[in-house]
Amino acid sequence: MQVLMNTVSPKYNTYNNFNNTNKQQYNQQPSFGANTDEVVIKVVKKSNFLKKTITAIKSVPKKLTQASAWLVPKLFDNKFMDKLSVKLQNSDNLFKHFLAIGSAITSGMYMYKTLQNDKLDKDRKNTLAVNQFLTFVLSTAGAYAIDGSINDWWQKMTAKYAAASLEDKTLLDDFVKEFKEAKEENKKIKAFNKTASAADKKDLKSVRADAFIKDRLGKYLVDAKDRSLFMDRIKGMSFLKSMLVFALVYRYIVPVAVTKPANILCEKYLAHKKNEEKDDD
Amino acid sequence: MKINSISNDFTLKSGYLEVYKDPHNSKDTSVGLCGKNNKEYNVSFNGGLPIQSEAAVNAIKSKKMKALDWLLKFVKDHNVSGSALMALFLAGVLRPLTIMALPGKKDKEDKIYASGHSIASGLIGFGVSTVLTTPWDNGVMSVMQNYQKHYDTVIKNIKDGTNEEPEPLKYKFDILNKRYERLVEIAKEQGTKATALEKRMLKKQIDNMGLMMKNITEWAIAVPRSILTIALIPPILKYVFGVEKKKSEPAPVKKHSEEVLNNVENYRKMTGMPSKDFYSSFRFEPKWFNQAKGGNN
Repeated sequence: MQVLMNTVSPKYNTYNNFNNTNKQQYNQQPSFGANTDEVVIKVVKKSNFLKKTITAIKSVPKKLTQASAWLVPKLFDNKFMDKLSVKLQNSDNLFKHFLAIGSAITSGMYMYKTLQNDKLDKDRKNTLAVNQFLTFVLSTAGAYAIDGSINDWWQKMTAKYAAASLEDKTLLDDFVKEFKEAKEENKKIKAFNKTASAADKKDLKSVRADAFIKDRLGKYLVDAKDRSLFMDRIKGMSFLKSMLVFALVYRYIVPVAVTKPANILCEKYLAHKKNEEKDDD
Repeated sequence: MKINSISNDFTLKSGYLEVYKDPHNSKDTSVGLCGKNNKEYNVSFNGGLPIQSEAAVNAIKSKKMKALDWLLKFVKDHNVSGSALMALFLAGVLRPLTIMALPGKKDKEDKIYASGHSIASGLIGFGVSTVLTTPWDNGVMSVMQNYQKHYDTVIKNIKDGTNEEPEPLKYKFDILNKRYERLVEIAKEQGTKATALEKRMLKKQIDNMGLMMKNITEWAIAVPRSILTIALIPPILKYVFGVEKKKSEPAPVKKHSEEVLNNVENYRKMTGMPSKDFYSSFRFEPKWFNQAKGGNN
């Protein structure tokens, strides 16, 4: 007689069942002799057109990403990019330059369209194009100025965000204190550098919130992955500032406050020019 | 009698019974700063998290600023779409509110049309930017992260004396590789002020390369996006917002009068006569034409 004693706990059985279900799902062979209807249903289900289409659509973003990743080195692995990245290594405004150039391209396109417009007479076309150009130049200069002027306040906001996320108010207090000291010290260094020789010149102290937070992050987050993720968000703060400022200028201040007065000026100039021409005659 | 005993009941020895019901439960979802990444965070059964300060654990669990956290990650990863999102907020929310609130001679329908126009341009700008640039951004990040992960492990092995297998490099990108190779060399050397500065510059170069590769798409899509925006605004306004631009009243007589005036003026220029003499010679005043109003009546 053979007795099988099962001393396995129900918990283990649940785990085992889970495994068996999975195994069945992948290893079970269709038994053609047993129940053909079941097999037919399975085949129909497997060749479901909608299912396949959805799967194909779902895989599109992944395929596009893979294609882009393949193309990236092909386009940028060259000497030009190599030299450019060295040249721009000290630039903190690279993203702003990209925004400004992007806007220049869009403004240029609108200027070109104005100049090509057959419905407008020549004087009006030129004046409108000049108007568009000046609006672009002034608004871009304004955007850079606003971005620079709120920089100190934004650094504090960044520290405030970090302090709130890491739930440590002292982080913000420390930053404000250190920021103030560094600013004062930088004034002295600048004054000293004016008179000092090139070799004696001192480096300015960092007043950036991201560097401050990065130095202290180890105290709060042990895992490197967490630290990297958190620093991504801190870097995101500086992107957010420039994006908000440039969008505010290009998409709000210019259309609401600048375009109308500029158009009125343009009309006045055209009327004045017409009168002058008549007087000349 | 033969007794087969299955005695390997390990569940009794563990305090974490729930995890054995489903192996997927072994991945803790309650820790980590971002929900998406939590799933990759394997927790050891006996100890939970590694030693961290209380503040850190609180921070990890903190979900207070979930929306801001998401936004910051999004704008960092997708610069062009992020800019378009800001534009959507300003052109789609703030500008229409201002237009509607501003007192002016414009009637309400004009204001609604202007607001609709602003919202439509914001929506199209964001939609087009996101669709066109997201796969590219992901592609750039995929390359950059592959290199970063590979060399982070290499540098960690040097610093900690460990022997972890680095993630294999999937892409051939010489100028990026060159910079990381130098970073590895620096990690092997004894740190000096000069090497610290070089390390910082190399990292900045790598960051800038990623930024340039992502943002170059803004230049590439600027023109098609503007064309699409101009083309799509009228149908969106018509079918989504139900507003149409009021057609301005045509003034055929005025147009015709301007044409006549121009012809007369051209003829005068051909004759070379001064304006006063020319028009007084046949008792004609050009302003009469300007006073003409309306249609054919």
